[in-house]
Amino acid sequence: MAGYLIHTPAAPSAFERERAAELGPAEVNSSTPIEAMTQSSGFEIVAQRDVTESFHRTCKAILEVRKRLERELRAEEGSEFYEEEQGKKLGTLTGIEEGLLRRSLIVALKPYRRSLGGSR
Amino acid sequence: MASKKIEKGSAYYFQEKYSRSLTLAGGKVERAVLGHEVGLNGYTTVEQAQELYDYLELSEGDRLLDVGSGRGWPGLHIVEKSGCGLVVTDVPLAALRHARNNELSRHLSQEVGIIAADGRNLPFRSGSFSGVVHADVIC
Repeated sequence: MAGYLIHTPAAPSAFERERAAELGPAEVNSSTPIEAMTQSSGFEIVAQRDVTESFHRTCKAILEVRKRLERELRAEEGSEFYEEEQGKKLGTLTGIEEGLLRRSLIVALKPYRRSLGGSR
Repeated sequence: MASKKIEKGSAYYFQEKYSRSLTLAGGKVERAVLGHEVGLNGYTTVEQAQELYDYLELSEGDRLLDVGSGRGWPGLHIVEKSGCGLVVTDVPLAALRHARNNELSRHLSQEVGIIAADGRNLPFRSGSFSGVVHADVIC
């Protein structure tokens, strides 16, 4: 299994978790640590890499390009949707810059099949 | 017209989110920042999708499961690169319709299954897939 997860830092306080949920994408709402979540799916993490810097760059770039194309986007999406999307992305950027939102690459294998090279 | 207040993270929230088609300008944003255009709602660039492909080491004959696939990214990218089969799953039907359109636009020779399913309770037997991929869906 391989994927990217947006998550809070390890052991966030209740306030940090709430703030992260408020600022982050709708999917950021789990209080379960990544390792526990992965294990509960029957997988074991074999590689993990923090990609928050890239996440920050991408989020910032999306905001900037959307700002640059504001007129076109407002015309096509409607002003309400445009402003809503900008707000959401700004919230995510704020969450990243406050250290509340991180993104990681996680690679995991099913332990009992690891030696057979199957089930990634 | 006043917009309906939709609870963030609710099923209706995601259905609404995916009901919108990708606009021309929206496509320009995606291409400029992420390097592709599928109506993405996440942050996975082409380079990062390629990295997932590298880690999974799939090839023709394998079958990949993309959990919470949205409009089909990054699963469709991995299929194009590896030649493996693919099943995409998500809950909002609007997302899955887009995934089907994205699949068709790529003229893939591989089989792509599109199934409405919640990642917390997938309807597949253990061992059905050679690999699993997800992006910005589990948090």
